[in-house]
Amino acid sequence: MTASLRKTFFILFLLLSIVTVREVKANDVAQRRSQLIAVIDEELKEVTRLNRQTKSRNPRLLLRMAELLLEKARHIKEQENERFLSLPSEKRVKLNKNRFFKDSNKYFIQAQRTCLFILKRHKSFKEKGHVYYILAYNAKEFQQHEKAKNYFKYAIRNSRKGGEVNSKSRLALAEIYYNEQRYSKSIPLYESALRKINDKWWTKDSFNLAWSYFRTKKFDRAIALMKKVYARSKDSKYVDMSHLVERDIAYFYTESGNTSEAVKFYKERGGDISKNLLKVSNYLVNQGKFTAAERTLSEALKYSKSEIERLEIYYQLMSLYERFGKYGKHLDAAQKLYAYHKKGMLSANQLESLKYHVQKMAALLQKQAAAKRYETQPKIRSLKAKQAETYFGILADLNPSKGFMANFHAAETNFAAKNFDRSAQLYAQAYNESSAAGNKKILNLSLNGLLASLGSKGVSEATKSRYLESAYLATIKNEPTSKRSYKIYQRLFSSYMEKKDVDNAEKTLNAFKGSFPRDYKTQEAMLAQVMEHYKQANNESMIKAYVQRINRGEFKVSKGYAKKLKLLLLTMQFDDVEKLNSTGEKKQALIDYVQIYKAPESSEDARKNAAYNIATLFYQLGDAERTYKWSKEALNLMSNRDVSKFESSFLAMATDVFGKRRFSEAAELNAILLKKVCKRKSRNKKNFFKNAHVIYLANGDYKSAQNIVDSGNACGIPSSFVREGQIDLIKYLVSNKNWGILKDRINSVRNDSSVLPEIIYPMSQLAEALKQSGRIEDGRAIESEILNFYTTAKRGRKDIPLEALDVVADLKMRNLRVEVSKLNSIKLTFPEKLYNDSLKAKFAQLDRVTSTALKILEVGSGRGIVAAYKYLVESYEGVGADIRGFTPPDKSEDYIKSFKKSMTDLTNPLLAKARDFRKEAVGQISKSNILSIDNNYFLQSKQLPVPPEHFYSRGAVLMDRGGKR
Amino acid sequence: MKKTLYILLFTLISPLAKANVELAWNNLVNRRGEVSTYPSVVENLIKEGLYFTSLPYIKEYLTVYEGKYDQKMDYLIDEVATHVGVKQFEVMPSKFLSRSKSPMIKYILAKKLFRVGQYGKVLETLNAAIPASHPAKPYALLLEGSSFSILKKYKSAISSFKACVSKSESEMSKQNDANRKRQLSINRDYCIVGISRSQFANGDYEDANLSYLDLQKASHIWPEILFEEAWNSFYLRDYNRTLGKLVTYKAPVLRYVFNPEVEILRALTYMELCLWDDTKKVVDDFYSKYQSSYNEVLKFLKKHGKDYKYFYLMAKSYKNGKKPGNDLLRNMVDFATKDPAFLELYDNFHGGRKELEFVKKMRNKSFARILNINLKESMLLHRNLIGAYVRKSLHMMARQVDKTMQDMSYIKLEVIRYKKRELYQLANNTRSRGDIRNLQRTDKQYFWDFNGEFWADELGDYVFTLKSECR
Repeated sequence: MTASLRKTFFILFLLLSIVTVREVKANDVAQRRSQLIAVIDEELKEVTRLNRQTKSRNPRLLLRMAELLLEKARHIKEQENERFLSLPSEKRVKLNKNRFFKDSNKYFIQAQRTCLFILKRHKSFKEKGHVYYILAYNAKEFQQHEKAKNYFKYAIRNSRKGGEVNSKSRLALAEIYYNEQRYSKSIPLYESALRKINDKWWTKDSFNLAWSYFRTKKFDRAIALMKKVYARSKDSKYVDMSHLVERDIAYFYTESGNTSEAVKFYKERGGDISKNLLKVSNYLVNQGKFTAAERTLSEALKYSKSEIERLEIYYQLMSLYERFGKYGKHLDAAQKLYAYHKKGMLSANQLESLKYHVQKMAALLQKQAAAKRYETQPKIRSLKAKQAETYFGILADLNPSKGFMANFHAAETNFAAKNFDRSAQLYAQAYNESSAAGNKKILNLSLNGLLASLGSKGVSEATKSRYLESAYLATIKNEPTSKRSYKIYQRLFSSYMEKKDVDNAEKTLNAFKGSFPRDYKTQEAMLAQVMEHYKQANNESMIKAYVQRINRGEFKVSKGYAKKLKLLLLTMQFDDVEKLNSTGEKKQALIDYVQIYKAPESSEDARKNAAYNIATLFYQLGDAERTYKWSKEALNLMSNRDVSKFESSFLAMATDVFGKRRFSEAAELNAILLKKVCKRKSRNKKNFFKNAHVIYLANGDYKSAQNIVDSGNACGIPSSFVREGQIDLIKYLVSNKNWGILKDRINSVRNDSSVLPEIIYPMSQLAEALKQSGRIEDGRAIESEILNFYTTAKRGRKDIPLEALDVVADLKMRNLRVEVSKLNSIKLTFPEKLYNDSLKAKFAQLDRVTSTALKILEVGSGRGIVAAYKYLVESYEGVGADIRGFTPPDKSEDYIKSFKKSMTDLTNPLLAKARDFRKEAVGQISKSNILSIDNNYFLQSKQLPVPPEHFYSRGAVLMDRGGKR
Repeated sequence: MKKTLYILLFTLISPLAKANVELAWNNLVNRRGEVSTYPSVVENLIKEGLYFTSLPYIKEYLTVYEGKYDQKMDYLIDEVATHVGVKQFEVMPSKFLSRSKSPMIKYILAKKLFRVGQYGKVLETLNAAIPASHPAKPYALLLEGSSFSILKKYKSAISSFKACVSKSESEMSKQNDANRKRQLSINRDYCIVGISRSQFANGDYEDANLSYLDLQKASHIWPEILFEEAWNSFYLRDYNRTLGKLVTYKAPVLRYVFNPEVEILRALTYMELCLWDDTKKVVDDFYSKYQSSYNEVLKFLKKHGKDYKYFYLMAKSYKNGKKPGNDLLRNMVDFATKDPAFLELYDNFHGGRKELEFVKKMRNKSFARILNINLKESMLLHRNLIGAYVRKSLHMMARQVDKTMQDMSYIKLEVIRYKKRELYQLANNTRSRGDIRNLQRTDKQYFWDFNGEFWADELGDYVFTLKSECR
């Protein structure tokens, strides 16, 4: 046998051995599975027997049955799976899977039913967690993931923390969350379960946990756990995960920004770092983890030792940068590769790839530069345009015969990015190059672009002056009546006007008129610019000359524009008047304003301005009559809005007119002003309101005043002002004894609680008038209302005027008088019993007098206070005197003596009280500065039969000594 | 009892009655049937050996009489209880029994309390209640020792049991009555075993092992105690000895012993030795032996409910050679009827027949009729007590079978669990480490190693030589 034949035999033997070992192994597994199923059957039989024996009272047995059913189902499923996978694929596709897996399904369902039975029958079963665990696994088996998840949750909730079922459920649930990429949920479950479970799968589950940490950016934990998994993988007790750890840990390090640790990891394991990192990056790219791949490549670049390796890294980086849109870095990589190309280091494929990248990125950046998105980000847009231009530059170098195209695109990009100076320059370059290359299309496009760039806002003057005129002239010359020339005429005209080169502008206008004679509108617009120029220059003569030319028909313009021009002349005249005014030549200014006002061609605005200015001038000159007249004229011409603008001036003018005692005019001006600003926001509105109604009232024009006051609310006048107006009206009516209207007026405000205190006094006047005229009942009714108003006002804590308090006190005083009169009417008489009764009655009445007087004191009227005290003093002293002065008739001296003595004891406190009242009264008069007709009673040491009083004649004026204030 | 007594007043004196009976009759008639006369009535009846006949008078005196308790009655009760057994009094409510200061009644009361698990009260009741010379003392000491033992006061328990042994023996020497002697010897043996049991409960297995040897193989209770010895050996991890003791139950002489737990212990012992197949075999054999028979026994018990007469008659006919139902039931009845307590009840009952003869021959027919009624009532109750005892024993045994079947299942499940674990762990299941000779033996072979012969002096001393298969 030759050596080669022996070798062949050996290989054949080896192959056969492998096949045999595998078969044996497979047979062994099948046999063991059969044995297991037999054992499970045996156990199931025994448990069933036991369950029957205990009459299903023990849920643990039922649980065990469910576990066994599940276990059996799993083994059968494995058998079925093996059979299924051994079938040819075509046959597998056609198979009815439900029927094929019916045996295992049967046991799964049985397990499930048993579990559900346990839950139903043994609701308080302590090991429900186990039951849910089985249900969960069943659900998982039937691909009912949500159900499985819920059951696992129940299993966790219903099992002892730290127990096997609890931990296993946690692991299972954690794995589900892990597969759903819900790492924050999987982490705590893995953590708690792995604290309790340390079986051979620990490494695999911890590996998942490490990935979960990683996904939730807990890099340190992820790396530490990976290291632990790596260490335990060396122990045969655990599943070996070292290979996967080696693969992923570098990725973890890289992603956590700690590539140096990854490098260290590889260094510790030996080998070419950059090469390994390249591998890692390849893996990461395949995993779609481009950021990490980029970071890894950047790190690899640091460790690369050869240019070929660097080229490879740049090549890969370029692809990554493209994916991420890292244009700056891509450009850098492209430039590096372009440099390698120049050195002839790129392969044909790499060169094609480079071209592809450059073209793609140039186009992409061009598109982005033109995109709306960057309109509000000019810096970014410019950067993109610049990057695109660089790419186009590389492209031009890579393909020189088409260089003009690249420059044209670069120009277009800059144009889109609104870098008009640069675009003009590049268009011009492309124009020249395409001209040289004889490419008319690009030539025209370049020229168009150049014109567009120059016509755009933002192009520098330097660029314009460099390219514009020649470009325009060339275009007009080439195509005088073309549409483009139509615009170019206008642009050229604008260009001249901007340079204030009116001569050339007029030439362009004339040339345009020659090419487009019927386009009056454009001619008119150009003409308007020229006119504006002359207006600015205040060149009235040139304007007049143009007006004449228009009149001659040299330029055809619209009627409106012709009128405008005339007005322009007038306005120029107006400007002169204002100058006169400012220099103090008011009389001339007045004359000129009046002319403008009267001129038929003057616009409405001109007239109202003139009227206002005239009024102002008369105000300045102190001519109240004309101020009033022209103000009124101006106000009539002005809109409400205009009036708002000038309301302060008008207020000053109206005040001045009032100051000059022209009351009705002043009132009228204020009324007009109020009307104008009625619905507008105005600072002076309330002043107009107040001025108008006060002046009207002062002037005796009640009706006008009433109209003003009644309009207050509608005009949004503050309610305090309106209220004040109402009170003014009422007071006016009282002072003019206009009782009929007064009553109505009072009725109109009686619902306003704020006004009530103010109308008490007028009401008292009205009541008095009514009583005077014999309508006693009406008067009394009003008096009763007064007391009501007073009560309401007091309850509402309103300020009540003193005069109103006096009125109320007077009304209440009537009661006091009645009580005093009753007191006085009680006479003392004997015999003793009668005396005692009358004395008792007297004291009771004195008490009533006191309480009534106190109520008057509470009102707070000075007049009322003094009067009340007076009654009190008189009453106490009177009673005292009555008692002291009484002598029992027909009694012995001793009796009388004794009687008197006891009466003196009784009266002493009364008289002391009377003295106290006196003191209090004097104190109040002094403290509250009360001026009352009854002061005399307390202040005069000597009582006069008639109190002294000052009477003044109506209409007299009380002179006040101003003196030094 | 009432119907027995109210007619007493109208009966006439029979001149032909024997002197003591006549005296009893005269007492009743002269005192118009007053309960206070019962002690002397009972006394006179006892003198004529009419123990069952006197029972209704004693019971009525204890339950109805409200006057001063006649101390003589205590002595009479002791006398009657000695002849009719304590069961007749046990069925009476405690509140009536507690009226008596009779040591026998105190013992009965303590027994009742023991039955309901009030061991502390048992000790209270017995405390100085029974004089050392009283015939109930040995029994009371057994009760006391058992209560101490249950209350985990092993030292006191052992002391009581030792006193019981000595007291029983001294009482035995005084007795001529065979029944009494037998009762005392059984009581003594239980006290001997009580010492071992207390030591076992206290975890002193070695001491217990020695103490068990104090029990003679000839003892009535030795067959059932052998099982306890086996347990003790089990706790001493002497599994081969355990099996040896258990195999003794297969000896024909001990086949009547009904204790399914024997099989449980056997299975457990095999399991401890990791002899899975043997364990399984014990379980399977048990099921095949008892499963269907057990169901029939259940049906049988259900069918006869609380028909005490039936159970009495069944026990009686069994003793006369008529074997009921299947093997299991027969075994159960056999075991119940060999029980000393049953035997005592049964023997007492037959003593009552003599009284019947006596009453029949009485000349005073009126009194004879009354006494006959009383006697029949007592005998009827006694018959029912026997029936109830048999019924209760059968029910307890049935429950034991049921529990054993469950335990057997759990044992089998445990075996299966081991087997399964081995399969899952891919263990090499060649069992090469044990001794092949031992492994090939079956349970049957162990038995036949003795060539089917049991020598009386060897019983309970067999030791197996199996090696553990545990890894």
